[in-house]
Amino acid sequence: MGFTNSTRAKILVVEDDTFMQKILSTFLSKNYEVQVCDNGLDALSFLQDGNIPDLIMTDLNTPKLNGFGLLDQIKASDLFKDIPIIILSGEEGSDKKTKGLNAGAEDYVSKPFNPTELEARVKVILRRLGK
Amino acid sequence: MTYNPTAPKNQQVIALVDCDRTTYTMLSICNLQNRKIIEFKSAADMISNSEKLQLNIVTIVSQGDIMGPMGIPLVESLNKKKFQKTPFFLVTNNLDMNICKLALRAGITDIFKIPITIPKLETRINFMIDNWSDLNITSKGGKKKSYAVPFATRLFDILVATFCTLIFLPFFLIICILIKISSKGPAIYSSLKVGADYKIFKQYKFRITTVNNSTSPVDYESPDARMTGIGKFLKSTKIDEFPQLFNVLKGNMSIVGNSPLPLYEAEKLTTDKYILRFMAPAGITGSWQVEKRFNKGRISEESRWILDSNYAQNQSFMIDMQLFLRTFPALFKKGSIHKIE
Repeated sequence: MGFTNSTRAKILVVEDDTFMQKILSTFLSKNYEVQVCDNGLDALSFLQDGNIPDLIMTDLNTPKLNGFGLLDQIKASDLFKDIPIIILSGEEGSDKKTKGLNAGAEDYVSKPFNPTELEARVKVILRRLGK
Repeated sequence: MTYNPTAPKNQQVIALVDCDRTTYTMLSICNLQNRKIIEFKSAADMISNSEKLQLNIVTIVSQGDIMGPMGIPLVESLNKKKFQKTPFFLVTNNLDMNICKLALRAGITDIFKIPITIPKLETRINFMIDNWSDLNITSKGGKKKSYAVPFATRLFDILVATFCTLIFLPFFLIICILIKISSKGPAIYSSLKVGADYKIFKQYKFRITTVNNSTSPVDYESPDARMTGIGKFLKSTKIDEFPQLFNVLKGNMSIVGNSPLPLYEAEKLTTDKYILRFMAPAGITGSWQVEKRFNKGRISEESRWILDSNYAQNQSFMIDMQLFLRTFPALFKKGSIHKIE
């Protein structure tokens, strides 16, 4: 497992729900190269192996290491801190959103989400980064 | 400062290898969960003390450039010596994002760019130590196939390189003097290249450009205005490549093989499809240089990598001999073999 050499932007999806994994990868695969990890710890070891995505999309309630834990590790790392992160979560409280954005996420999308809107948000972030 | 590398049995130790005062001070005020920080002057010092005193080293922090002796080469030598696998952190002034993938693949866990901050150190070091066994890091260690140059090839390399060095030595000296006279700087230039088995080494060439402090290997490869008069001559006759004979003698390269690549380029080829090219000797001459169509102009990158992979799959002493002999007529044809490098 790993990203290929294609020029398409690479997205790492961190999500434990298999149904959600399927929807996200089917939808995003049209325009992006997508890899899925079940939890934050797997995502970190995926990064640690030298796979650097252009964007990470993470759920908050993932086993082993949750979304906030993953966010903290990535933002504390000088190697990974520039990877933009979108939180995709079932919780939509304003405090959760604030916490996520303050922890370094670029965006916070609550579930259920509109896939087209999600993709537009991905595009905005990649565009801002010139990718 | 008293030097006391001991620690109570079972206490977890964070080994600082060749770090400066600031790094030591920053780490010593971090909350690292009662782990003991021990400074070592060098990696050898750490290894010998770790064995002698049975230290339980759970993490290594070193300081320097990624490609410098305290960076990737240190991780690789620890792996080679079968030193226990621990997280490896590098404190550095220069963080070049182009080689960060290479650093990760070599086994550097993370890099702290100076100025370092306490929250970052605490977050990363504690987390990596606590979760080290669960972080199933695949690309390092056992899984990696390693490649060794066949004996016949090595023997041929040594014979040819020794013979050529002896014959050309007087000319080498004259060229060195001419380069020295033509402009300031060393006669021989080295740049980091990736060769057989993805090993990184310093490749030697005669210096063909004037020295510029900001020179990166990339600039060196592009034909530019900084080329000296003698440089132009050396480049067009390929004599600038001759110091690679020393790389052959040192065992970094072979006479025939896939061309060693600059780091940024090698990094792009670490995919299943192309990684094979590193499972073959790295040579001064090889299939790209000899392929006739190369001389007609630009060969696409894609077909270059395919040639390399084919060579890696079929490499044999006979094929090497053919390529070696076909190099000589190829040399006299028009066109530069290093056009795209």
